[in-house]
Amino acid sequence: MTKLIQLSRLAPFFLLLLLFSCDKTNFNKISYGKWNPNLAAPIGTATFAMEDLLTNHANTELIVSDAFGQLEINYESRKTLLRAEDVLDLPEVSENTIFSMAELNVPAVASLNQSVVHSETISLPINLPNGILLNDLVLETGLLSLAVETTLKHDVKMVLTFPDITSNSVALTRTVNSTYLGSLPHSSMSTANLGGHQLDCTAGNTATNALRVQIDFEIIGLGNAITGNENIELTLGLNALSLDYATGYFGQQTLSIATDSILIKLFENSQAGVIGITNPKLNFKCINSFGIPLQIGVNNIQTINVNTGVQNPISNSSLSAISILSAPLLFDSSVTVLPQINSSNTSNLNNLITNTPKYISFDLSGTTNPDGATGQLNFISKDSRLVVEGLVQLPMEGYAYDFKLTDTLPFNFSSLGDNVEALLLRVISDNGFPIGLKAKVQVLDANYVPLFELLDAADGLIDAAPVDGLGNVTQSIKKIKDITIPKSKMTAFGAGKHILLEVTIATTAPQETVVKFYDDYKLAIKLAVQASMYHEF
Amino acid sequence: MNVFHLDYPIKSLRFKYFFVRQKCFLILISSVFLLAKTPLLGQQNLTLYGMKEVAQATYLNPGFEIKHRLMVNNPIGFQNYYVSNNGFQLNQLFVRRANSDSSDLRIDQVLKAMKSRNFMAIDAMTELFGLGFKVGKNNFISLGVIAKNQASFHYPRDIFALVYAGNGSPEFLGKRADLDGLGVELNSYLEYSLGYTRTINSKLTVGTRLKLLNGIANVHTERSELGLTTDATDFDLTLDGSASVKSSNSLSFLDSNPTIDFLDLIGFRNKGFGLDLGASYKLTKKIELSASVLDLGFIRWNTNVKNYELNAFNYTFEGIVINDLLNDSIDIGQELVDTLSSIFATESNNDAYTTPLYTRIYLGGVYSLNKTFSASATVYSAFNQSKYTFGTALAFNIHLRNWFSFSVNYSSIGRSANNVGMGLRLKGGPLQFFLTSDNILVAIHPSGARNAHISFGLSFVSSIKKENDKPKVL
Repeated sequence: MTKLIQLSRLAPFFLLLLLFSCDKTNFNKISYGKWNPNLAAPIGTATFAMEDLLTNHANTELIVSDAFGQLEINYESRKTLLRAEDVLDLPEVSENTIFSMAELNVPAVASLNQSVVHSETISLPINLPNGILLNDLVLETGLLSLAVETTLKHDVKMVLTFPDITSNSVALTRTVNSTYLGSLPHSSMSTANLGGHQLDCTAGNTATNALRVQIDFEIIGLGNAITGNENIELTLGLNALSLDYATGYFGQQTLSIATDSILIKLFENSQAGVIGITNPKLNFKCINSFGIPLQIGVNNIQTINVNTGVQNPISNSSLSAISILSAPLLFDSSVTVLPQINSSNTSNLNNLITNTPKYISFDLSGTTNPDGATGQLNFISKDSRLVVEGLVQLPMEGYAYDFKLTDTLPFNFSSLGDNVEALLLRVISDNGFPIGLKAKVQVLDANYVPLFELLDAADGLIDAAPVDGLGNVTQSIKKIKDITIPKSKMTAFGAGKHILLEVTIATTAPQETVVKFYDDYKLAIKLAVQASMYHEF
Repeated sequence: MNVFHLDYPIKSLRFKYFFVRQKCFLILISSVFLLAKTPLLGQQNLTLYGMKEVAQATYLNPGFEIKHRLMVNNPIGFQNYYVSNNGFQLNQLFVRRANSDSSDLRIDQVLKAMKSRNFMAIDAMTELFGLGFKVGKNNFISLGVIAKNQASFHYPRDIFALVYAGNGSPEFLGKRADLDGLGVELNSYLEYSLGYTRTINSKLTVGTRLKLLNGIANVHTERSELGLTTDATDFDLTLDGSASVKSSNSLSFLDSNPTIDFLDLIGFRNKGFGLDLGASYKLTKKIELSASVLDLGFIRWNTNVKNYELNAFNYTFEGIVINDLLNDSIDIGQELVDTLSSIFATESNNDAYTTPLYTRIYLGGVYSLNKTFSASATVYSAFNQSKYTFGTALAFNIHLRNWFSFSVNYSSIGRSANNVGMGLRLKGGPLQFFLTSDNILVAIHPSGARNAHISFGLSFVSSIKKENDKPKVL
């Protein structure tokens, strides 16, 4: 009975066995066949708005929009043509003066026991080039050095007063004591920090580029003789001078020619094609913070092909001699916009927009006080600059066709293995730009030998949005492009190591239809994949 | 209190093995718990219903007239087992080649055979104790203890079709792969019953059975909706769905360091009540009609409840945002994981819940050709929540005096339209044995069957002597 009970408990398992057993199926002789599911999945989405281009570009290549949202590509350069030290380079000053006993009115005596005093005024010249005449000079840094040496067997005291070197309207004064200790000559020295001091380089309107020094001598007799051959030697120096600001006349200086260039990268990687930009512009702007009338010239404008080095001049003489306004106030800048070079005043400006990457090169020259000394004081500060900015403006308005870009990219789908029988890559675009794209994609092996063509250039990948008569996009255009890799090409696809991408870009057809680009245009791209899988059991 | 803490020193390795085995089992059954309104589909016992002379037939209709004075169903009692897979047959999965002993795996054939919702079920009923006795001339009292264990795995056709054909196949491209209803159900309980049958008159007999239920374990799918739609144009993948799973004494044991108190299992802490009603009526001398309603009731699950709720979601994956890819500071993988985590975040609670019993209705009619032969018809209906199952059986019965009965029937139940059932009753003295099956074809051609059923039992019965109405005891 117990066995019967136990057997009864096994009943469901016998039932299961019965149900799933196969009386005629030999499990060793089952052909499991193949399994080929078809899988589909989205890969990703991307939306490109003009604002992305506005923010992601390098500083030298800006896409900007005007008040109406129309876009233009700007290429900028900025060249500092003149700095303060180029106009006024403060020299080192050193002046040596020897005072004889006669000049000091000290007679020869056998023994001098009292003090003898005498006052003298000398001039300390500052030698400047290019006819520069300084009025006031405020130093950021500087050092005054004094050295006294004498052959007198007495103590010497000298009080030097610099009426033209002031700080808060107080003249600079220094006292030098040289004590006789039994050996000759005896000497002494002193220094003064000139940082923040103002120098009146007109010596109180009595001289040019000079400073006055008043010296009060006192010879303190020690009972020794004075033979009359003794002297007192004074050496004055102005060292390590740096400018804070200065006024005066800075002469008529011719500045050395500087060459600057702007790289237009728009056509990088392009191979061929026709492009028309309806209104390219080349602008120059001078920013001057010198208080000096200037004249500059922008000459020898030309394009230089990056690939070939071929130069093409852009002829326009209107920039050869331009007067630049002085800065209105110290620390301010004046901005002078030079005449624009555009297609209406420059016939060969189209050299700018041929489809090769190129430099736009130009020479810059300048002259200070081109009219000479007119009586108006110049001023200059340590931060004074003359900066010339060049700006190439390519309004995104025009047409392009057969415009080709080529690139080779690494590629590896060997991991797909044998389980993928066929692939379909779907590109879904919703394009609001008046520009379309055709792509030829070739799969290359490790030696860059073409294996097969993945995408035929004859088929458009992304269609250009239609435009109205003004070149404005009327509506975005949708397109679904399937790139299929059939079973016969899967092996070659897996062996590919590079893809050669040749993209042909064209604006909305027909050719030479002028289109405009605005900042609200968008391109949405969606990628999806469908794979026919294969697995044999 | 019989409490075992797993982190306590286990008293014996046998206990440890028991818990490990139990946990593995629970993990197995709960690993697919995205579920739906998935009723447990139990055995129909159409053959046994037609053999009312078998004492255990009163479990199918308490209103059957009982001709025994005493009935003891121990120790084997009433055993009933049912296994079903209504989605496909084995010979549809392995199709034999003509003139060859080789077979081909034909998932396509299986998919053709499947309906949108399918299930595999195991249903086991074991009578642990059964006793019945006559009180007076017309009353019969019965007591019974039955262990019922029901488990089923419910699978939508599309879950296999999706794997087999892929979401890019024409079947699914631009359409929703319907994975609603994926899930399992588990129900285990003890049924303590008190039955009462009264012979009203010579024609009418009625009966009822009151049941006190002790829930042992349950996994119940309140709701399971899951769909995957692949856009036909851009292949965007849209996942939608929601789910609600409730469990008692099962999923909570998946937690680390579970504590199992055996009184939670057998101490009437998950109480339920059930009711069976039945009647039989002799319309004429040759025609007898019967009807019964079984398992009207419910179980309230209170112990070790662990319910999971996945709120309705609808998420479309459109691929990665390539613009983000260009932004190195964004971890796209982590972003995707975060997104999915927030969408599929489940909430859990320990709220008690109620599950209804699997209610069945039998309608039967017997036409006695003579004393030996009769023909019968049975109509079967089953309700569980919103699910309805219908079946019919036509039977031919042989009765040889009091010691032998044989029944053969043809039945159609659910999707299984061709079932041949057979039943046998043997009585020797007070010992009565029966063996029935609703589908014996499974023994002949198992690979072509969708279900298998066996029911058997052994009883000590004391029949009523017609002459003096004394029990006949050996």
